[in-house]
Amino acid sequence: MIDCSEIRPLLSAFGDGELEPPELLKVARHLAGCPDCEREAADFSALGAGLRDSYEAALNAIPLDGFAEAVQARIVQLRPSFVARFQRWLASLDDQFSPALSFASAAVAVAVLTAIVLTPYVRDYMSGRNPQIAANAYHHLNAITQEPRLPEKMLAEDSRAVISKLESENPAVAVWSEPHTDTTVIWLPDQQAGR
Amino acid sequence: MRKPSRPEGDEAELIERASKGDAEAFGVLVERYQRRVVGVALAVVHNQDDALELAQETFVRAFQNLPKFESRSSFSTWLYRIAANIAIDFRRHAGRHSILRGEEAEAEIGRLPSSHGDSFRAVARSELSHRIQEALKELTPEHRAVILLREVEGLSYDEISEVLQCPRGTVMSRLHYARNRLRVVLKDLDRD
Amino acid sequence: MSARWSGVIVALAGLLVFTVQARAGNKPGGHQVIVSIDSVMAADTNEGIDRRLGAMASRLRTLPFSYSTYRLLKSEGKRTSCGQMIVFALPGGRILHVAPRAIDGDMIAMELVLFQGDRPEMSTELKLPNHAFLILGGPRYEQGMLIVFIRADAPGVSGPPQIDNPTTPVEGPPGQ
Repeated sequence: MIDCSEIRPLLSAFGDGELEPPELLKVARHLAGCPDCEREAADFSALGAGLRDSYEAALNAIPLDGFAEAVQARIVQLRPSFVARFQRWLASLDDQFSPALSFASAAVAVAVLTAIVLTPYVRDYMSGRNPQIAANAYHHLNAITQEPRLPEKMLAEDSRAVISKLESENPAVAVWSEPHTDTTVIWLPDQQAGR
Repeated sequence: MRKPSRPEGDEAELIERASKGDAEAFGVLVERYQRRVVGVALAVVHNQDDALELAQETFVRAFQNLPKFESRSSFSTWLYRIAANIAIDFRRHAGRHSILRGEEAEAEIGRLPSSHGDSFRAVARSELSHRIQEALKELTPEHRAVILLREVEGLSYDEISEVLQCPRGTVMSRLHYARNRLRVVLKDLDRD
Repeated sequence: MSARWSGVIVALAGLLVFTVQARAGNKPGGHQVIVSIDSVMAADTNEGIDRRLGAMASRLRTLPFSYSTYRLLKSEGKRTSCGQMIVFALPGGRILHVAPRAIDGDMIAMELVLFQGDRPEMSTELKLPNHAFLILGGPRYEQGMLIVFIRADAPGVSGPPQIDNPTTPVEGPPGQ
């Protein structure tokens, strides 16, 4: 019997029809025999209907008369962006130059730019100075032979994570970087816990 | 699963003309999509006046960037992406998306512009609708955007991923988080 | 816009992007990431430190709360790619969703969502150095508490300076 805790995170996607077939079957079978999860799935469905009603009502209350005109008034005052003007200029070139000439010009420009941009890189490669690629190849080889076990030689010295967002219902959540190892710790004590 | 659709027929022609600066052609697109764009903005910022202003800004920015729009993707998805980005940025700069709990949440709700807050209550057709609107204030703008795009606009996870420019897995997690959060808040509101 | 000129612009842009990517050794989206989860129970039951913990033991000792027992409960590794979410069932019933999003230099951007049953308990967006640990701890587990090491390895991506782990590697179940 599959544990409810494994099924619940999938109920949302199940109701949306977004699960892959194996997971879909797993959830469907579980729901057939679990009234709690079945009730939760039904709650999500009711919530969806309530949300749609709620938003439709709120949207219907917003007067949109004159909205399109207001947008037009702002657009008319705009000066086209540089990119837009450049692209419109390019489009106008179609009318002035023959296809053959334009393709030939493009080919020459590509060839010149290729030579300029790649020359230093080619020089490095030919002289064997390419530590970045060599290191990447080593890591890739290591991963093939060892993953998904921990590759024991490859533990980072600097473990500090950069957290851009954290949301939690737990009022006691704490985050710190361990000063000795820079390991980032996220602490979520149970609210009845003593420590 | 519904797939994003390419602009067809007259819409493709309208987009082509508008991308060359035809404001009248763009006006037709505005009228076609205005309600949905306002809806996306409203979901995120939860204020009627702000939603209208942000929706206008969305269309202005869309007009400026139309030459970059590639017709092999859905125009509505592209438009929603602009709307969602503008609205979420607006909320972020207003400093109203941080974690809020308990008394902090109540105080923050009280500080929100209230001039049109009553319009939600006035037009709510049911008690559940009203409570859902209150509960939605507890979500972050990103979570409100994802739940609206799914429940009201009916976008697939792939489409939402494209609109919000985040991985599909993130869409799935955020939807689950948002729905559970709403269930919890609605239960708490029930008890009050 | 003219298809011909579009083709020119795209070709030039593609060439520049290819060159920059090649020089930087950067990997485009869809990069493979191996996520390893080691769940440890910490308790005051005087059983000592599980030798299978390896280098993790030194990290545990630096935490503000010290225990007389650290026991490895479960070790699991899964391979995924940027943009794909994977799910781990933790001891005690919690579920952890991990979704790597992108590789940024030597950092792996990812989103984590922790569920306790059907209740989302925590959601975070962060960047972790390649091959580095993040510790998630605090929930009660049996006589002690649960500490989870979350580690991400992106093959082919450089990482910060590395140290050798002198102890026996953990033998967990094969990834899926």
